[in-house]
Amino acid sequence: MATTGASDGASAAKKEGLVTLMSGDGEIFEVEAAAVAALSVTIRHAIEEGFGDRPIPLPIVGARALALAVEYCRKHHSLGGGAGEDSAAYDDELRAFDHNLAKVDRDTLFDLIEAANYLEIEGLLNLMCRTVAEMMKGKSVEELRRTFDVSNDYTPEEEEEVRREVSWALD
Amino acid sequence: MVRVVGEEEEMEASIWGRLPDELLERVLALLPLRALISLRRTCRRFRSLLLTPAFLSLLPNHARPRRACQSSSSSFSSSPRSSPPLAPLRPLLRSWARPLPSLLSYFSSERRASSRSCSSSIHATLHTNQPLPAGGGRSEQWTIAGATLSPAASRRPTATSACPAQDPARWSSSTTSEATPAGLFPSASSASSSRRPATARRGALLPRGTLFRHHGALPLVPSTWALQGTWFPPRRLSPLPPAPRGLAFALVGRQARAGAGGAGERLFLVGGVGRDGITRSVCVWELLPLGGGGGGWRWAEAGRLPEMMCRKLVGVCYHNYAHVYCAWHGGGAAGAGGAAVCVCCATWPEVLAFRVGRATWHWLPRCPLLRDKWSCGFRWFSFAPDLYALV
Repeated sequence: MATTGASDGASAAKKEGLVTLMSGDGEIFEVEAAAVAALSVTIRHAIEEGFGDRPIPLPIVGARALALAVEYCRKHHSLGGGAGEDSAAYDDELRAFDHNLAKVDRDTLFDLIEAANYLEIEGLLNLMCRTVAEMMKGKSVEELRRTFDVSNDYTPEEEEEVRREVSWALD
Repeated sequence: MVRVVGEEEEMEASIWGRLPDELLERVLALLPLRALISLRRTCRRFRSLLLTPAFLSLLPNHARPRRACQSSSSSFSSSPRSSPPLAPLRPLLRSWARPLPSLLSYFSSERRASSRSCSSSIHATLHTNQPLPAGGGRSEQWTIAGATLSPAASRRPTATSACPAQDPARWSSSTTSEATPAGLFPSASSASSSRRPATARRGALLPRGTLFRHHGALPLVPSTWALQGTWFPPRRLSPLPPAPRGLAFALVGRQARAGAGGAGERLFLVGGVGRDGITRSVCVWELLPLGGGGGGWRWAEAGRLPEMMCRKLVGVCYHNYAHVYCAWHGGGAAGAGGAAVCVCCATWPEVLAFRVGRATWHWLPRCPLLRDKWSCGFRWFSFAPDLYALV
């Protein structure tokens, strides 16, 4: 993200109110502590644990996902104060931001879900899960198998049983 | 509302199946009924995934008390769009008609599935209308955390070799050493590039050799483990104190996360005190901070089971506590009034409840969501015939 200041040394002079995050691939992000701590439980705990003055390692979060997550925190902190979707503060601009964020490609979406889960950003996780759920809707059984990359491991008898179970709803 | 990412996006060779189960459950819980039904037909994994207590607890029609800890979490459970999904399934689908059809198999499969030996614990969130004597008849939440520390179990080899083997009831501190601020790694072994670090997803070894698994009520799993080292005490990395001496068995019950950052979480230990695995008395301890501001923790005895009830319990169990587990009963939205630590077993007609507020013990009618399990036609009559009689 353009607004994310990436520096190549954790030893850079510390500015007040900043916290350093290190993504799994070693990239360093300096972000406002207040914004990320307000939305990410993980970061908040890390700061409370005394990580404030050294980089917080986030081993399973990639740089791209981290940049997007930080952007999300920043936006929601400044615009919505971290409030939930049904609050009055959740205005159109924030909605548009979420809408745009959800338009990332599939791999980024996947990484963002894992990142949001790891960072415990509830709002972002919900947003991404909803996005994925939207993609799943209206799919046939075969399409769902392809979507989740699973194969049919039912025996014919079991398959018939499952089919009978749900036939009332599909007919 | 979020729109489809792009209709042209072909999802063959997809990555969604690689999501950890708890995240997949979150996604699936947002799907409409029709999609869930189709999903049941795809493969066994999804069929069983849709029946886990964790998944059921995610479904919005369970009228869960909204979590107060995160103001941003409300959109998930209160979204009007996702409210209708599963109500019609219950009467019509055989497997959903019973509220928790797979609870017991969930227990046992959890044991089998774990690569760690000695994992004999489950977490599940159940919803029940079972009132406590002073509680309302409203939907309430049960959190179950069971852990047996029977001597037999402890003799099996465990992954945590750091524990002194001669003292079976000693809590291991290996978890905390694994998660000390060396980094926010899910664990030392899973820092590799694997997308699904097994340890992080499965939970952490808390008491010696016992696998605790997070569940739907705490959906944000791995980092909680990694950061806190243990889910309790919250935000502390101090090891748990050694268990009280002379434990013949131990069960752990935990109050679900109540406030922000786990504040208000309480951990209870129900244990039999005795020698050589023979329980002579049963006590309940609560984990409390050590006085003096040292930051340590201690087990404070909260209550002792009256002798007659203890005899009943021991007689029923016959010194085998493998199937007995401990549940926290929240006591409704108001909380403290009916809060209780419950000792349950699938074959019992009642549960033994310790009311935390009053420090009294009761035999209560069983939670209706726990499946009956009678073996070989043998069946217990009520342990407390004055409650009700099965004639």
